[in-house]
Amino acid sequence: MDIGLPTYHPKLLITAPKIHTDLLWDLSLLFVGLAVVYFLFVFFFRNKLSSKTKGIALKKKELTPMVSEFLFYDPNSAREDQDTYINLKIEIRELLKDRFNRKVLTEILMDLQKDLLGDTLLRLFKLYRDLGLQHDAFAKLKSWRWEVVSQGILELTKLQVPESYSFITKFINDKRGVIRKQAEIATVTLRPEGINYFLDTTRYKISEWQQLKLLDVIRNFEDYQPPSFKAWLTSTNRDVVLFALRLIKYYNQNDAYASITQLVKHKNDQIKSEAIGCIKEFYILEALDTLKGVFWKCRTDIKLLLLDAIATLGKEEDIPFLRLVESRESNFVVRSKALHAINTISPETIMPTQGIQEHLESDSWRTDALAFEIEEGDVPAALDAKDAVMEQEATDEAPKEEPSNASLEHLASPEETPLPVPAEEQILLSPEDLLELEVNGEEITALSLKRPMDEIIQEFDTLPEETEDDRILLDFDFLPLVVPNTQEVEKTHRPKNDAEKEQDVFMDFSVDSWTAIQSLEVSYEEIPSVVEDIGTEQETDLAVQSLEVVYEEVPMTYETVEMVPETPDTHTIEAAVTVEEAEDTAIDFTIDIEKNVRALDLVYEEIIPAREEDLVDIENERDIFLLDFLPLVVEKGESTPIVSDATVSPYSQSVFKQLFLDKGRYSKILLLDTIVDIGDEREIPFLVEITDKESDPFIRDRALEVLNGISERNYRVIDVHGTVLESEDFKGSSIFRQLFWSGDTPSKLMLLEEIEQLGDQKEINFLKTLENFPVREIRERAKRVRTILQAQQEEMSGTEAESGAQRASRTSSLAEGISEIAFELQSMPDARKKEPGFQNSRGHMPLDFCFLLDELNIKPSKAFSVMDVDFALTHEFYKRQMEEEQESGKEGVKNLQKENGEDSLWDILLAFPIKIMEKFNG
Amino acid sequence: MTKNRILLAEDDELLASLLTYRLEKGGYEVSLVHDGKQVKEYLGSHMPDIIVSDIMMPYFSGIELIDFVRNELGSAIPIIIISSAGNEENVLSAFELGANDFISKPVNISELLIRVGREIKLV
Repeated sequence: MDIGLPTYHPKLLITAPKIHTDLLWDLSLLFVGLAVVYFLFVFFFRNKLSSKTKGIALKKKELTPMVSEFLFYDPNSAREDQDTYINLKIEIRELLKDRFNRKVLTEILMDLQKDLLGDTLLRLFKLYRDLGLQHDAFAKLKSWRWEVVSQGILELTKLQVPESYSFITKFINDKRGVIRKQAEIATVTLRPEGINYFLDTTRYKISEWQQLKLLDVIRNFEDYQPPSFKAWLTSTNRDVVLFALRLIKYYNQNDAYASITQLVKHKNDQIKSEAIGCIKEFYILEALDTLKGVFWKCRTDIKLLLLDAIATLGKEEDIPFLRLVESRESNFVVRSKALHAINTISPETIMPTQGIQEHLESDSWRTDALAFEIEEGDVPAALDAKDAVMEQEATDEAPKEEPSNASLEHLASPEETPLPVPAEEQILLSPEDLLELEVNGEEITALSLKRPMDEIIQEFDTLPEETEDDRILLDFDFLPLVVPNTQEVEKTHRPKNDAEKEQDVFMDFSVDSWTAIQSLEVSYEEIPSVVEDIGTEQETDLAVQSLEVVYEEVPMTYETVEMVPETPDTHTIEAAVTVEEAEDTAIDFTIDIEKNVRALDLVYEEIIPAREEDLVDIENERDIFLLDFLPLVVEKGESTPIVSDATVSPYSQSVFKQLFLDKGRYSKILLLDTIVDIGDEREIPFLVEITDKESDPFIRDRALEVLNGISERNYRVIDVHGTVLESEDFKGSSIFRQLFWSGDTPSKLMLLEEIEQLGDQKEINFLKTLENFPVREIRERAKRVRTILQAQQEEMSGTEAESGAQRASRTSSLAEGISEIAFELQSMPDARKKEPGFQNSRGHMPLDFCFLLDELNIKPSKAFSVMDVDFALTHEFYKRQMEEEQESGKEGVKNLQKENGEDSLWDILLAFPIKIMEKFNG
Repeated sequence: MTKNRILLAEDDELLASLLTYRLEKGGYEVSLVHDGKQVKEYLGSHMPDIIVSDIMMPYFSGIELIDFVRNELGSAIPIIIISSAGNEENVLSAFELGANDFISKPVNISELLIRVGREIKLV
């Protein structure tokens, strides 16, 4: 019954072809047959090979006693032995007619030569030739198969057939590598002069391994007299040159100084490094200049070798170069090596600086002990201890030019000064002693406190005058201002009247007694001095007569600084700097300036606060903010205490000019670095002059860097062709500029990508300068980014028109932001830690702080590098700032940006330093 | 006059053959073995006057041989080790375990004869 169950009918998508069963059987049989044949072949050849091996082994067993008999045959042996020997000889002659036997015999001898030494080995060589087996080897040389030829050469080499030398040498330049290498070793092995022939004729590369094997061959020669390998330093084959250098080094052939020195300039790094190794090994002092000359064009590994060689050969004169490397080189390893080299040449020149707590001095216990004794009332004992401290410093610190700052400081510290020092127990130091010490201003001041100032001045006055020629140069780079102005000198020597004292805002000082100085609170000292006729470089033996002290600047306290921020309405800065008037002292110091800022020719001076709490009398937190990072703006005529002649432009008074002219190349570069550290805008004309007149392109470039750094705006730019471009086009320096130049090519490319995201009009100018950059990729990317930015700027200028009120509001908010940042910085104790004396201008500053300064058109007083930014501080600072903003509900900088619709850009900017830091950290 | 018996343990047959020939010619009675097993078997039934052994052997290295002779057999017979160049560490180990002398490959057979003779004389 059909119940209508569904029936399954599969639909075949692929229809298998119909194959005849017989065909399948046929194919199976075929493959089985092929497998059987294959296995039969394998079986057959395996058996053949094993039987051959067995046959060889049997033959070896048969022939080995014969070989032993021949090897150890003694002509003086018994008659019976001689008969046996003759019988064996006849037997072996018969055997040698068979090729297989000859082959086995050769194999036996080849095996044995590996394990034998001495006279047995020599007998073996003789037996090989006596049996005539070398003819088979010669026949192999004619084979077309490379393995056979190679085997023939090997036999002739191992079994020492010198007659084969001329047959083998023709394979030295064989195109087949195995034969060529075998022939090279054979040529060198068979005859002692083979190395000469080989080096003369080889045209192919000699691998490192091959060089080692060749060296192993020739060093095992007995009584070998190596040729003078310097002959091959001129080879056109660079591997021959390299091998020759290695052989020169190995055989200590130190008679090729000039050639080796020349090879340091070779374009091949291997040769270069080998030449440097030879220079170091042979202590070729004449090569030092060459080493320094090629340094900048070398790769990192070669630079390290060069620095290593300089460390070995160098002297004190080379330290400036090493310092230059340390300052200019971007690679950390190279910088480290440079520092190591400096310390190798002059131990402990570079001291640890990172993480050193300067207030923890090793001698602090002496001061503590001294203070304790004073408290206890044991004054004579305290004075003895004080003497001991002085003596300790005089003896312990053998290099007198590096006295311990700390010890000098604590001698003049307030804890000590109240001592009622009897006249006969005063520590007397002559002016010569004082000036022999290479001290900074503070140290000199501290020392001078040990005796009445007028006594020291009198002593200077009574010193016999010397002619200009007798004067000796003292390296006073550390001093702030040196004015080779005869009027100044005269002015200094004659006593000042009261009117002059009043005019001199910085200098109104006379010390009558020890107690007067005791009451001073030392915060900032300058000892400007004049060294005239700087012509020679005798720096250590200082003659006091050669110095003419123009001004002695005394310790002073900048107690209160009140500054009203610049506003669009007034453009006035009111600065009042008063100095605490000590009744018993002669210090009378007051500055009260109220001038229109725009009418002034600005001169920047850094203010170093004596105490943080004394910095600002904050009347209104919203209006007055700390500006110790900003320049103190004073009137030109009054702000140049050193240059009293108001008609002389302060810019022409660069202290470095005369020094620069008298120095050599490396010293000039070092001097430029010094300008970076302690120079200010007064050096700008001098630097401009260098960029105009200096013939050395390297110095000119460096001067330009320093110039742009000091001015914080591009005065000039040198394009890729070395042409100096003038300033106007490059004003409004891009914040990315310094970062760009300090990075390598991948970093530059990354930075360009960031500029594409963040850049504005300033970056367009910067990008223009990159369109001639030597690296094509950077050039093209810069061009592309500039095009994008230009388009963006055009678009923005069309759509955005910020009103005046909005702009004022924005400026006000920015000022508020900068105020908060300034306070924030002040509240961080280490954020702007100032050292007494002359300051290093590389103060750390958050990156976006630069943006704020830029928005307000405020220039920092000193140059700083973007690379010096303390990123950790910045990150922490912003974190805190944002937290505070959230808590207090203040309108912070971030909110300001958000209101202006720039929140994303601002976020990117905030994250930018961290991103950069992460990239640099890998 | 009885000949001094030498046990020569060397796995390289060619060199072993050559050394055997030379030592026999030098007046010694040489027993040649090629691996560590044979050495143990031989020492189970014989005690030579001197053993000359390669360090590197199948089954039983020269170092183990010294240890076996000195500690298990408690014998003080002279043992001269043949070592490849660059195998100084093994040589030091061999000396620490009680080897009397060593000679390096490639072998100077004349030197070997002198050393063997000296060791036997010392005994």
